[in-house]
Amino acid sequence: MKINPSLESNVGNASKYVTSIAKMRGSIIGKILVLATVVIAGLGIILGCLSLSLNSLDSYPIPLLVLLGILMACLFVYTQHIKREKQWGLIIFAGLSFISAYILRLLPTYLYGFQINGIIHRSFISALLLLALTVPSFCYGLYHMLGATPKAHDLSRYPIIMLPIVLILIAYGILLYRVFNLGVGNLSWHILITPFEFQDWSTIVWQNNWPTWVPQSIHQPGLSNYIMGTLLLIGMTSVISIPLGVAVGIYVTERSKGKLAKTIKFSCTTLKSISVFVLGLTAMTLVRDTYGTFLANIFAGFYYDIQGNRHIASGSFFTAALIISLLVIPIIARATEEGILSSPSDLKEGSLSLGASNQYTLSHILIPWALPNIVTGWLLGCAETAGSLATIWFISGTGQYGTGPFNSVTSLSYFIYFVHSDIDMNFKSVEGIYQYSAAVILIIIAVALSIAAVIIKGRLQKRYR
Amino acid sequence: MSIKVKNDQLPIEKRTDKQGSAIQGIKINNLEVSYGKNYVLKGIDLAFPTGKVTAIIGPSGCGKTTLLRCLNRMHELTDGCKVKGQVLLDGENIFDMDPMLLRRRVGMVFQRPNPFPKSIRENILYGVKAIKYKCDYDKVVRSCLEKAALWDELKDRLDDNAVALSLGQQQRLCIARSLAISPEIILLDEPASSLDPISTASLEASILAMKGEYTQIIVTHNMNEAIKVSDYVVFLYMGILMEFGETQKVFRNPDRQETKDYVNGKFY
Repeated sequence: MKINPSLESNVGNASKYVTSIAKMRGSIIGKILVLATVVIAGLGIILGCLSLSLNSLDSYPIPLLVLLGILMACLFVYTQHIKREKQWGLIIFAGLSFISAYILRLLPTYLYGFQINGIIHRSFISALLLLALTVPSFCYGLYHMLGATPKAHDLSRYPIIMLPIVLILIAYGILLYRVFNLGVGNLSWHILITPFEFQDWSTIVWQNNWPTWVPQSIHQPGLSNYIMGTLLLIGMTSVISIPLGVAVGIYVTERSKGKLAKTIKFSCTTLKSISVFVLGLTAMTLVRDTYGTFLANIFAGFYYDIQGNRHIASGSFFTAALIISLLVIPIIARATEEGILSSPSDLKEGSLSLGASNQYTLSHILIPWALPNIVTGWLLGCAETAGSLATIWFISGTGQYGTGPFNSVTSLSYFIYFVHSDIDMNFKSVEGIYQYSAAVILIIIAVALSIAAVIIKGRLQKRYR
Repeated sequence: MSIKVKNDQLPIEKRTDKQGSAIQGIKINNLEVSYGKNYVLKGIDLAFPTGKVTAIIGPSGCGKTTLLRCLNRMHELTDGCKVKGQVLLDGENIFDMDPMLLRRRVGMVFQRPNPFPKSIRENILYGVKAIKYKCDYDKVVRSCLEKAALWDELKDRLDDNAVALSLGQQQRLCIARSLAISPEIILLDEPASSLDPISTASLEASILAMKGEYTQIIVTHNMNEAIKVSDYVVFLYMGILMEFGETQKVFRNPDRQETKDYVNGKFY
């Protein structure tokens, strides 16, 4: 593991950094604030390390957060005095030293509950991942500050940056190993075919010439309705969002200067950053508001139970697909826009100079060119749909009475959640052993979709580019 | 949405002349083109002779390509381009016409060959299918490729991807493609600049073969090409029309000093 020779000579530059700030142009207040920023940032990591040994520092997070806020404000106002590379290095170094301090402080409490089961179910993995993400950026910033800018192809030569990447891979490896270990053993053709059934009802039986209600039930574990649910959800969302997304993408490219196009672009960006939980609440509102009307059959879904009674469910696939496509449409629109803009201008000019209309050029030249991008967008949308739990949180049910567009919405992620979170389900019920199998199936669906998308993209690129 | 094919969209041999007179060709009246505040062409008055090849020559940046693109209304694809003046095609101002109809009558071949990523057959039939013109597709493909001297090379591989051809073949394919819709006028923007000498020779042969049937306007940097191919020459300098005349006259005995200097290679 060779260290970059130029880095060695730059280590001594740390002291020169401070003097270089003093020599810069700018107000004296600015320079003082920048220096104070560096000092406070350094303090953060020291405090973090100290907290490992001093338990009485429990109450310091709040002042620490206040300091973090002041620090960020100073950085944003005064970093224009510094050259760009050092500016980013400073921001990254300062901000993330605080995060690392916070994580390091929490680390010891997890070490006490150290069990191999505890790794997965506790947030040790999440803390490790967060650390693994912040430490490379922290080191990257540090390297920037010292003047050595690591290039992407050089990264393997910087062991301190490779270490967190290896940590991430180990964490994911442990996770996948455990899931597959517990899941594959219970997978069988039978479990994939049978739907989940859990129904209680009572029938009247004549005993001693007297009618009595006798309770009856079916309890049949199975995953087929959840698998069908996930696939149907992906299908319906694609059917809704691909045409709309491509149309929005085309409109935004064609009239990119107009006000409506700019509004659409802005709302797409905003839609992407809406929390999915809020969208789940929207779905629930949609279902609740239509209770009692005819529309409840469409938005809330209906089913017939074992005795033939008709019930209104808690949410249909149609609603779920509508709400999820709010998330997927911006993805596909952005992908279409990128695809069309990446086409060479020669092609468009050539087509127009032959007398073809704008629409004809779009449909015969530009959209075929953008198809690989659209497929990538669709794949991202499918990943979003298959893993979506928060959006269908409030409206989903067990889906045991059928899987159709107007039946109760259900998916593998919902199954994993409700089995895993309920202690009775988790350990005492038959379903408990199938939660990991469901996870395995979900992973297989995701991988199959990715492979399908890669193959489709390859074919389209060969044909249309 | 089907478009009714009008008289001026039919192939040239089927068009009936207006009032029985000969087709008049392109005439430019006092054209002024500016990009923002930068005046690129100032006061051009010109009439291109029908059925002949006219070469536009001049130093770099004098506005040759801009002039050519104006004749096709392709300048509208660049932002900030303002045009004043008239360009008459058979007496009609092209700026009042539907640009799609104009571009079916005035075709263009670009500097870098830009075949569509489709089969050779689909490339040639692109313009024909865009206007939904019903004709014998195979006949059209054959006649266009013969005119561009590509039929013998490509008759067995009409379904291959056009992007796989060599640059010279691609450029001739672009010419064949623009011939499929039977334009009256063909604009060529430095067609041989990205080609090797053998392909350039085939290209020049195609241009000479198309004389008489089509009016061609070619922009070129290469003076040998201008001498070989063209009947008339237009010399543009700094956006102003300096000289227009027959090739032999402009190159042997030009009227203006600037033309003489340019032709003798004193500046380029």
